Amino acid sequence: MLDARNISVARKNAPLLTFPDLSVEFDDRVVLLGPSGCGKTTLLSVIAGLLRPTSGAVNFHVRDVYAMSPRARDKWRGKNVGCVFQTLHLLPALTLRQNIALAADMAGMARYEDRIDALLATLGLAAKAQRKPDALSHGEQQRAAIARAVLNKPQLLLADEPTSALDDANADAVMDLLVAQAAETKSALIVATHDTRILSRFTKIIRLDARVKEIA
Amino acid sequence: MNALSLALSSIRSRPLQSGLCVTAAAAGVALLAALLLLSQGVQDGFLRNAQGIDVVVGAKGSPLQLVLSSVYHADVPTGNIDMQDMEKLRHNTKVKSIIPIALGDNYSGFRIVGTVPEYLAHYGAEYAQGKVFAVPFDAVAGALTGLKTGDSFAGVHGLAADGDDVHHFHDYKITGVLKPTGTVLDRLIVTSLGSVQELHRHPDIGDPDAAEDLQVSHQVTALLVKVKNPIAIMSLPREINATSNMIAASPSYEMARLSQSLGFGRDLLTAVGIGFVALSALMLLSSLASSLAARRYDLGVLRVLGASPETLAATVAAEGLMLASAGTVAGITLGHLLAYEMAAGIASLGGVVAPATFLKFDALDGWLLLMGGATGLFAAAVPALSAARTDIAGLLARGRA
Repeated sequence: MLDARNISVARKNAPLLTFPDLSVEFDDRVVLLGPSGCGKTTLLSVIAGLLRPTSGAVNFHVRDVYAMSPRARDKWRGKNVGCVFQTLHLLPALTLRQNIALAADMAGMARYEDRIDALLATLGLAAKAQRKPDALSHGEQQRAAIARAVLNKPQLLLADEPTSALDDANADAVMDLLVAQAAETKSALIVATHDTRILSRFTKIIRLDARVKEIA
Repeated sequence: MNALSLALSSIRSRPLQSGLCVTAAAAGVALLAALLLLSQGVQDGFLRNAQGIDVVVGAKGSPLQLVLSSVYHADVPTGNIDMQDMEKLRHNTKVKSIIPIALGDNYSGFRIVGTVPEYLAHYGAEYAQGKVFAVPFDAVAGALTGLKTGDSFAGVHGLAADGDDVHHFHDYKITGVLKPTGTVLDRLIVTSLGSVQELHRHPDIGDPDAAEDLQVSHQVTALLVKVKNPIAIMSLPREINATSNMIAASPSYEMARLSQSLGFGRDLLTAVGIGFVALSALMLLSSLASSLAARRYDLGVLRVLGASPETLAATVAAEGLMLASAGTVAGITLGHLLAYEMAAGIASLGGVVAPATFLKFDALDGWLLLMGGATGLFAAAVPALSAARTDIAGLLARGRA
């Protein structure tokens, strides 16, 4: 489904990052493992169509993501990629329900209120749907971010350090949620983390630290 | 949610900052709107009051003073002219009609005008109560005088409200009250020419102005002349000025001259108003820029969720447009109220401008609304472009501050 080959990224005032090839199928659960600064988030951004690599190609169902027009790539991302980032990125001005619905609205897809209701109920957020993010606990915000990422039933679910600031119990709960939602929506799950506690959840482990090179 | 609803959410999430932006825009627009409305109102008032009066004839003096005193009742007359001069002019082949007026007295600051019923017809007067004066010392009151049918009063010599030279010979009696006309007539008390002359024929004993009063009894103050053809508007004043002891002036010419003289002041005030609007735009720009800095992560999230850079730019632009439009609408409304209050409160504007006309929206408001919206979009342009160019990957990697 997803192939990323010969990816390298050169950013201003930063070392050139090269990444191992990556091949992901529908029910894969892939972890990108490596310490801070090794480029995990950068690789996720490249896969999500947010950052054009300096070299290499990202193919989604044999279609080169970066050969698409910017507008088509934005649409593709909205429809096919769900993202849960390190910081939760819920919009403070919107209610929880509006934050979740944004995924459909921004992707230009029909908003299925039933699905939002079901997600809110599944994630234990139904009673707090009309609250603003700052009235919710960190855990609730994290669940809402996951609900938003899976709303459109994306084929790729990307998560960046979802458990890094959590204790064991909460890290388990979040991973349970991510894996369950990925399974329910038949998404491939790619998680970037340095948290070795959660490695047992994945079918593929890609270590980035050994593959990142600095080129003078 | 679309760009508009996202912009609205953002505005509502920052009530103080948004409120200040709207207030600043409203203040600038209100000032500009009030200035433009008053300026236009005065221009229109000048035209309305002088409509149908081609030439004004009076005693030698300043032509502008003659026009101001006899058409707009805003200055002291240049003097009086003899009735026989009026009769001589009536036979001039260029003259179509003459309305004589005799000034010199007032009641509570409202000028008493001795004239003929045609004067009332000239302004299209309609009666709210009663009827036109029929016998000496009957009078008709303008809409703003506060007088009612049946009221009676003694005229006071001079044009100032605080005069103490009261004409005790005979009281005036109000026989009719006029509907508002939006002209100077609203602030006048109109009686027959004979009434004013008769009153001055009987000065009080010991009155130091007795001699002058007796002279007035066979004089008029000015003649409002309508000519037979447009060429006479220019030729008749030249003829009168050259061959008589009177002066003649064209109201439209004199008012155009006055307007030109006042133009600098009006332009200065308009520039101040535009300056206020520009300051409001800068404040809006500053607010949008700081809002953008705080919301950069939010915009990044929208991009991740599939929003195009254009959608992000549209969200920021919509915010600027909404704040500016809200401020402009509030400013236009305030501007109308301000103009109304000023027109109603400044006595010298009475009869020149009709305050009630400022309570109606007109084409100027459409232009102000367009200007306000354009200013909002202009102020939002830089933040909107900046939003569209946000480095999303770098932003998400750094995380929310």
